Amino acid sequence: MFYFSQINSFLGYYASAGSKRYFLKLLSFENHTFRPLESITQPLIIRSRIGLTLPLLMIIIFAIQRLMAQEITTVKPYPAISIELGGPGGYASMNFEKPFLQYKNTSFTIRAGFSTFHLRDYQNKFNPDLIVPLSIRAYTGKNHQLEIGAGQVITSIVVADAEENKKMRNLNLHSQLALGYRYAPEGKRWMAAISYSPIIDRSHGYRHWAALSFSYILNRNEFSKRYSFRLRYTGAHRYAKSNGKVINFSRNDA
Amino acid sequence: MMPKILTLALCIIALHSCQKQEYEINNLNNNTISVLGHAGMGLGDLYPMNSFESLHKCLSLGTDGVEFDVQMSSDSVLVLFHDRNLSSATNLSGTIHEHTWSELRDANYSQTFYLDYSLISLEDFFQSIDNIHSYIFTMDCKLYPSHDETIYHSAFCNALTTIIEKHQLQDQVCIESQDIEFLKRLKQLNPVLKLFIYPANFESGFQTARTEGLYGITISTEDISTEQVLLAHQHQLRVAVWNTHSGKANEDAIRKNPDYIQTDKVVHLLKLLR
Repeated sequence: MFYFSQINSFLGYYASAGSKRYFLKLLSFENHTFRPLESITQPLIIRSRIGLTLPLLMIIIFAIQRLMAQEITTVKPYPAISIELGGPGGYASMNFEKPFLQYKNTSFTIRAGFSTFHLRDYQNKFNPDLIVPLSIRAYTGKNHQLEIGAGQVITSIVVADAEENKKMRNLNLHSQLALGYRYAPEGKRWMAAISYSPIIDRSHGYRHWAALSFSYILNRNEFSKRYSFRLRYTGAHRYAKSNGKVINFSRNDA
Repeated sequence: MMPKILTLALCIIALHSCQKQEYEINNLNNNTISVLGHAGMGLGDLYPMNSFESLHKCLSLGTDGVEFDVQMSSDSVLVLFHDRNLSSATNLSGTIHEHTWSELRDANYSQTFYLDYSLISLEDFFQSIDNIHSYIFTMDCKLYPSHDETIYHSAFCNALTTIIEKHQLQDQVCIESQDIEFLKRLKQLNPVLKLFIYPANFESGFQTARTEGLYGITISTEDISTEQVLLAHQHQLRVAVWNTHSGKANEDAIRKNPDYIQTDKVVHLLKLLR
């Protein structure tokens, strides 16, 4: 009960009028006429269990992290960028993925992407639809990994109000799931994944969908050392895994 | 020496590929082919066919006009929609004629996730166009009566002629139907309307159009030859072709010299003809 009340207050904060206006401002490209604030922000006030996916998952993961803090052996802080065909981004998307926790052979990543359906609106002006998929993914295995994930997709789609003959943006929040396979050869800087990634659309319900993605790992340990890239640490010591061997290095190594 | 020759050859090929093909067009439309989008941006576009966004996108690209499908709601409002059943493309079920406009206006196309485009009425569409008299509008009348056909046809014809006269679009509008009785009724109401028969094959359409004194024939580009287009033109019948789903189909259609092409590849056809 305590956790659910926390979730509700968390959602309540993000559904507050001020943050919504700021969010809309961020997403707007032109001076569109928006729908009344109540109607446009209604999707943000998450009322179903589906809408709780991301915050609930975050809380579970942070709880696991806290419980198993002593057993976490490695943190692999190397982010990756990926191109995904299909998936929660629609038809194709660019994604950034950052591992934040590793426990034995299981790693957890947070992933954010960007995609669009139209770059130009129906009046042929540059005014892209925005699709922002956000998710948390878990990968277990070494070279051959099982992928499980869940998250939300924020969409801002340019539509017309035919009766008023006005352009506006429909801001909505949807849910996404992922279950798949990832090939991540050790010592290589690329990964490939295929997954079943259904989309739970706010208006159209559950939709079967699939994803095929290719990732490129950024900032690997050896790469950073070779080119004298400065690693950023949040703590005194971090561990990095390189070619299957766990090495220990400190701030001075960077 | 060899690389220079190769570069030169590549340049020649590139220049050749950039050359715009010239078409010799002879028809009844002042020797030009009017480019119309098929239900807006055509099949396969992310905008649903007949949606406000699809129709306006088509017009904004510089087409001569747009083709769209018209049905009638139970309260005699003309609504732009293609299929018989709403469930094939929207979140509603039943036919257009089983719903009132107030029910239909809340319906959304449901083909692509994340995208919520609405059904629109013909009146809203016409109201939204700035230079309405500079475009051609082809209306494909889809007749799906849910009760007495005669009453339905009569109400449909009345609604159609009323809206055309209200916006003074007699010269800009072409009306297509597969139902000759419907076209005859329209002709009685307004003899100056440009009426097109939409036949199963060229021969039957040609006969009907000549007998009833129609303006032209609308037919799939695959079902008509260059000679048949010429024959229609010799009898003062305009020809509108559709079913051009690819660039090659656009080119083939142009070579047949029709008066109107209702294309699914709008941008490609505009590049060929502009």
